[in-house]
Amino acid sequence: MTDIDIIEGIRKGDEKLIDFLYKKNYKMMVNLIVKNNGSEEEARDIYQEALIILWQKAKSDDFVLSSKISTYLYSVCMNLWRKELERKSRHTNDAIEKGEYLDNDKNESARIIHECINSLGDTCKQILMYYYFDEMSMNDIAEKLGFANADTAKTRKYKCKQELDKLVKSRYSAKDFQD
Amino acid sequence: MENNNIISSEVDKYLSGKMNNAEKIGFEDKIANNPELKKELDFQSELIEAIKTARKAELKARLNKIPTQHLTRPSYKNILKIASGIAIVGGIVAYLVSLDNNPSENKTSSLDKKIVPIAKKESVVNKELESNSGLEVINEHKIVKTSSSNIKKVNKNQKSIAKKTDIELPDFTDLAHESISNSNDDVPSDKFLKDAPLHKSDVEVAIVKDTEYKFHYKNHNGKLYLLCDFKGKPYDIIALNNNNLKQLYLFFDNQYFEIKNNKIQATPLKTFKSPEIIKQLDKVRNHQ
Repeated sequence: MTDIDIIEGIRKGDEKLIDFLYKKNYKMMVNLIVKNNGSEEEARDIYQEALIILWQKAKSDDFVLSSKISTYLYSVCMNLWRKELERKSRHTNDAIEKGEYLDNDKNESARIIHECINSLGDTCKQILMYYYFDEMSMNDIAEKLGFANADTAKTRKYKCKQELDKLVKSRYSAKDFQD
Repeated sequence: MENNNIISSEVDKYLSGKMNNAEKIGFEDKIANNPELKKELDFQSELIEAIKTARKAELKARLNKIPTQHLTRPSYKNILKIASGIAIVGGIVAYLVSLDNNPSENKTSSLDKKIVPIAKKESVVNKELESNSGLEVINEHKIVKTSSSNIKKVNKNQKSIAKKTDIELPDFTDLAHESISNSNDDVPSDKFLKDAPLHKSDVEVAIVKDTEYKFHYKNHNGKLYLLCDFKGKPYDIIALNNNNLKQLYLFFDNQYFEIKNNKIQATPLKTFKSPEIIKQLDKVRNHQ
């Protein structure tokens, strides 16, 4: 399978290809981070992030693979790790204290939304994820989830989103009421 | 309600990046003058972020399920740690075999070719053993450079000292029955660690260099033979006692290797994955 085939597959949302890439390049990418003072856990996390970036970027029409996939992943890993090291060195107690109150509030809403997403049906969850994260077209979503056509996928997406809006808003107002 | 739906769709379109430039500018103007719309935008933005986070977590969970080869390569920090010798303590015994007062060339000549000598500096060995006699835990370890080309029987004096420290020196005559190696007997041998047995142990270890095996081990008559050339690098043997079962591990080149006690054939030394055991071993090594 060539790199071009892999990118084509990723564009269609074939998740097996991300598994394949992960396994194929694992040792090289993780070693890269470990050699640069990272733990294996950190290395794995960074490598997974890099693969997910590729997964998303490959979907964009602007994406052009100008090198081998492994070279691309290598440079994304390096950039992410550099940022992570910078973040670590900036991370002082002052910064934590400053953001504490804001973060608590944000965390609470994030938790509520997270619970609401999880309470949706599996198909709803998948549609929303494919649409917003994977940026898949309605045609591809319909094909992947076995809908009759893109219009059906569009209607389902709309309804699922409405359902999530409602769920979260009702939880928010319940929370405000309690507060 | 209908109005709300239109707003939602518009916000959704904006956040998904599906508006053209003119639409975008128009929408941003509206937001600037409409706090309700701004509120809705923030709300939708939060939802979409959460959906993205959930999907990312799903993909990561998927990747985490894929079996990968666990890296045992140590971090640079750890290498430094080891190099500085801080970490080389704990665990158990690599012990020393020293010169005999009665060299019997006839008796040992065949052994000389088979086993690389382990220790020569009897005085150093004895001194150290004596200084620690009666102690269950030896608090210091020394690296003893060895240079002998002869393997000799252990004399009585050494045996008695060894007993006090729970270190039994091996009887290398047993090796005469083994066809383990063809070593170059005048090569100065390994640096050897005499380490602190935090766990009392009567383990006996012999190093056999230049065998046909690289980095193997075997058990024979209750003794452990390491068929390895450590190339002068320090190593350590650590025992973990779990439910009265003793499990040995070799620590070398910043990696741990499992040593089973039932291998009578030469068995390759292999690393293992259990982070729990690695943690315990690190703890033992860093104990002091």
